[in-house]
Amino acid sequence: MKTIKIEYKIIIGIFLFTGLLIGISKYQLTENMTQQYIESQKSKNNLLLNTIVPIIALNLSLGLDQSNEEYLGYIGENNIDLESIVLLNSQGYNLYEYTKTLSNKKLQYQLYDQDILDPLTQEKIGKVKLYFSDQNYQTMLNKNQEITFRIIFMTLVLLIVFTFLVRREFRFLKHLSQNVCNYDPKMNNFNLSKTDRKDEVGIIHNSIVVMVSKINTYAKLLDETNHSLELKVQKRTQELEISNKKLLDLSLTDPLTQLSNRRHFEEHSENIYDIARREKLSVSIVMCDIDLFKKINDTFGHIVGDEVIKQVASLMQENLKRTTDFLARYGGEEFVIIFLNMDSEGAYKICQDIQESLKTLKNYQTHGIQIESVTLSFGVSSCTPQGHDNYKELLNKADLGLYKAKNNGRNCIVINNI
Amino acid sequence: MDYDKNVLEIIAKIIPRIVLMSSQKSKATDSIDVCLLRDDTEQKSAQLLKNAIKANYPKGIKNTPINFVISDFDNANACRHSQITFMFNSNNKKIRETVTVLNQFQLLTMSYDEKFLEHGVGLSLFIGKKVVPYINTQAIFDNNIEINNMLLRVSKIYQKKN
Repeated sequence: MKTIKIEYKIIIGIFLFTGLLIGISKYQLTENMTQQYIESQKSKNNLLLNTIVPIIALNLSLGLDQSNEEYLGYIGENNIDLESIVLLNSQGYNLYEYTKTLSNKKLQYQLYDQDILDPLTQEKIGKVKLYFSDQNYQTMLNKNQEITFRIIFMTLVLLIVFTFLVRREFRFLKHLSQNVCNYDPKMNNFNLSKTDRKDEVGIIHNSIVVMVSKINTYAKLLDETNHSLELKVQKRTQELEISNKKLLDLSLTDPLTQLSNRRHFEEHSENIYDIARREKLSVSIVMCDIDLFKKINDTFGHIVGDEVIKQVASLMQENLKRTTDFLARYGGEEFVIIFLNMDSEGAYKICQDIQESLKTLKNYQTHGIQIESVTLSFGVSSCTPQGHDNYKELLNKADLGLYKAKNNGRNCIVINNI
Repeated sequence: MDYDKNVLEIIAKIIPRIVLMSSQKSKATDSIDVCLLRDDTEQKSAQLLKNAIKANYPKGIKNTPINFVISDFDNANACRHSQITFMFNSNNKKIRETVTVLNQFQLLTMSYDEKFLEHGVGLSLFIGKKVVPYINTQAIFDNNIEINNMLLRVSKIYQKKN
């Protein structure tokens, strides 16, 4: 079906609505006229009744019955809608009756009646009944009903036409709106294509189709951008993790020997000590110091001193076989080892192994300088952690052992258990 | 002379009412006084009319009693205190003379026969297809008597022939 532009629909609607208003106005006008007619008929009939009653009353009181008959006959003939006149005496008997075509169906007539009073004594001497035809009224009423039915019929027709037009538009718009509501740019599930309709609904439909197409394009672009961003973020995250690890390593590692530094040792020792306490295992700490290192420094310089420290650290690390054995540079030429699940004898044995390994460094050359020998002093302390004691106490004991070893002439191992 | 009973019945109804529907009402404060003038030969008819009036108004009208004076035409002075005088049929001359006498008292005058209106009687009945009051307005107004408009409306007005 060919589409009609909205402005034409509005114009048609206005015309139809105007027609409806005119119909309603006409009906209202007819209704008012009918009411006015009824009122004027009532007034006229009452006026007639009020006019004839005094004359009838006088004639009755004077016994001029013939005058009444003639008078009422005259009244009846000269009032088109007056169908019947009935004159009754005070006892209710018929004195006179004038009838045109009055049928038995008196309900179709408008009755106006009035008691007749004696003009002198005001006693009731009769009653007059006037029957007026309501044919004209019925005709007007029928015409008005006909107009009403026409208006109702027209209204129904207009309603059906409007409903058809509006439903047609709404069906199209509903389909469009359902597609818009269900549209998901990720699923790209908008199935409508451009329409050939040239009216406003068609324009809106095509605009939405174009808009959805643009959204699809931008959504795809956005997806690609997001993916690229995700890759970049992932890469940056990895770089950050590496940097963090490096920083962490730097913060925990001694840059010269690549061993753990004192801070790392302290953190690690607390954990080891807690494990030992929980598992009721023995813990040993070894404090170690390069003997006469100041002399090496003073004699050969710091570069050689540093090389010595690196060599010693490497040898010590090589002698630690278990993954739980933890070696750290404690500071300067001092090293510290913590052993989990190892008593002082075990630790002592490892210290001996280290001393034995040091012999390989006898008369070794570095930076063109001959170093005769490097020796180490060891302080060993062991315990099985209990209660609230901590590793620092054990460390102090090991340090005290180291002090004793220095006092004992160096290059020796002193066990100083708690 | 035989009078029509139906006409007499109408006259019996009209006579007292006309008094109350005219300016004569002011004179009928205690009673309505009706004077009946007749020839000697009409005594019976006069009595019939009187009875008819009494039968129609046994208690008078509006509690006003109705009194009667019955007299012959020669003694018209007997009607001087009445408000209305009804005249049975007689010869023209007598009627004319009686009317002249009665006009001195400014009374309502009524006759059985309409032809006496020509001699100055104020009121009669017109008997055609219907019976209606026949009023000689000139005669009534000459006696300074006023008639109710409604009565004039249902009546036939006498026009004196030139």
